[in-house]
Amino acid sequence: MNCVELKNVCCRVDNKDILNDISFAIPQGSMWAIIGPNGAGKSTLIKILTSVLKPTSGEVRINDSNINNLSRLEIARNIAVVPDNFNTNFDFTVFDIVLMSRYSHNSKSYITNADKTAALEALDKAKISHLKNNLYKTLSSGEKQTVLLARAIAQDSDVILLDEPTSNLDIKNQMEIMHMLKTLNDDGKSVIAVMHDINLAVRFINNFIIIKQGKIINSGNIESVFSEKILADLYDINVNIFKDVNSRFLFMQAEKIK
Amino acid sequence: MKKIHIFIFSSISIFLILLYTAAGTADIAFFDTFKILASKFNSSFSGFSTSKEIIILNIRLPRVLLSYISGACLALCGCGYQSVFKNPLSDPFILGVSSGAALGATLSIVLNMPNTLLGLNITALMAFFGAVITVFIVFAIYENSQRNSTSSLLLIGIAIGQFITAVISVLMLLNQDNIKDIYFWTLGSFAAKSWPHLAVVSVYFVIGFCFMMHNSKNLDIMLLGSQEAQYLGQDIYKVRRHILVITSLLAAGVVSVTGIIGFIGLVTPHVVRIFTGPMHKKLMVCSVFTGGIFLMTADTIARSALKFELPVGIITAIFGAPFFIYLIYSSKREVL
Repeated sequence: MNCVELKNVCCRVDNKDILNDISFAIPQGSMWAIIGPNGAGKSTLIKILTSVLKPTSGEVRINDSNINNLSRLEIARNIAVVPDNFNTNFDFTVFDIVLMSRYSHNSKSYITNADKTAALEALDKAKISHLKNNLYKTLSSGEKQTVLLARAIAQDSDVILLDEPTSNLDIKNQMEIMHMLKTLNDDGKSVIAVMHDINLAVRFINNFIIIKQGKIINSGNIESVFSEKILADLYDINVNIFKDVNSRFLFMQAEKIK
Repeated sequence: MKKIHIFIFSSISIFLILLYTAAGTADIAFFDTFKILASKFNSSFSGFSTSKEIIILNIRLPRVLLSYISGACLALCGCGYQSVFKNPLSDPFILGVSSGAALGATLSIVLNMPNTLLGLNITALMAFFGAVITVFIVFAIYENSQRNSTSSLLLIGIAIGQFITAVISVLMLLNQDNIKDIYFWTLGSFAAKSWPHLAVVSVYFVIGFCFMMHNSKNLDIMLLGSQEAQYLGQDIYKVRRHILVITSLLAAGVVSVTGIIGFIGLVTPHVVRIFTGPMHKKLMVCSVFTGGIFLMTADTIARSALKFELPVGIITAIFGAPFFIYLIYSSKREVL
């Protein structure tokens, strides 16, 4: 079964086509990256997949149900989102932030012990239990990103959707986040990440959807998706592709701009 | 919120209610007040003059309790408004409740309406309907504007409020004999309020408090912003509408009885948030106690500090503003 499926989805905002006839299906338990240049429509795609934005036409299906037939709570129970950047001026602790992810699972007006246990387990899984009582707004970018990932873990949805999870992070934090995503995928979660760093993405993810100007220009596994020509068309610069000693892809950006 | 905190807040509240009931310009000995109150439960304390009993039981006690409950209501509304708008300047009157109520009261005064109708105070009724109609006009314009941002709602509320304030000014200029009555109504007062007023506001409070506590998780999530709230599963537009309608009705109910009392709804949640943090269950319970104590204290000062009674709104601002600024300076936490 597909966890996420888009059929001929178009999205028009302020008389501008943001997404144009997008169709793809992502099988349950798989790990995919969506890549494309800035302004390609990747973040809009995340909003469409969570029904924050309604498509102008086409159909979005989540775990075989039309998204229009799902309540917002049901969508949240199916898809957890890790935004690229979330800041707040309010003095929320890390535990408060993670605990709020249990909203979709608990219809009661109060927080249950089960909620607290799930939040603590998520913090433990993300290895940030020691930050539990820290104020979220005082954390570093890497710590904030890990807290948002812990929040997604506590939300306990089938699909984890990430918007540029490694942007603004140093190499160590990038690797830690990607390892965590890989572990979650190994545990059976479907992971869909919008990525900018292709070199990092190919080390952990095998399946790719390439978007440019609101259209899918290629999708599939690494071997079938990437070619120097496609990347040149995608980013409007020449890109050289190499393989390292482990036969993993390495992309070298050429200096010459087309 | 631990039970010990509720116990401490409750104990302080009861102590102050008794203390403030004993305070006043009438010559009643301090301990006689407690004896008069106790005489209702134990006949061995009876034997005081009827006038003293009336002052304590029918004038001071309901007034003190009314100011307490009104402060609690306004603080509760402030918590709701500041969460929905994520704006530190939001208070229960930002959507035109106060100006609508003032217009209703002004109309009843300038039209020389009878004081009561079927036992109900006409000025209070007019103020209530003025507030409610204004809020619904603001909402109707907002909903038809096809906009989703709270900033638009805020601006529509401010614009309508300013428009109504201008209408009130015109009515005051055309009816200069009534300017004093209208002006004093807008400053708010608990003078001449008794048990029926307390009963009405208490009903508003119980309904509002139950609703807001039921929505405490919704209010927490709303502080994250509309997109995050939706990611976590909240139907933010529906929840936002419900909270604003209920808090506006609550504010309208209080204002119609007491007149416009500013500062409590704006400042109390900020002050309490410094100590409790932003999670609403704790914030709202502490705000209810703090708002109640704040307004009750202000009203006691208003009625007993000088030989004549001051409008309570003046006291809340004179004492509240410096205290608030002190807290902002001394607090390690951001106010918002």
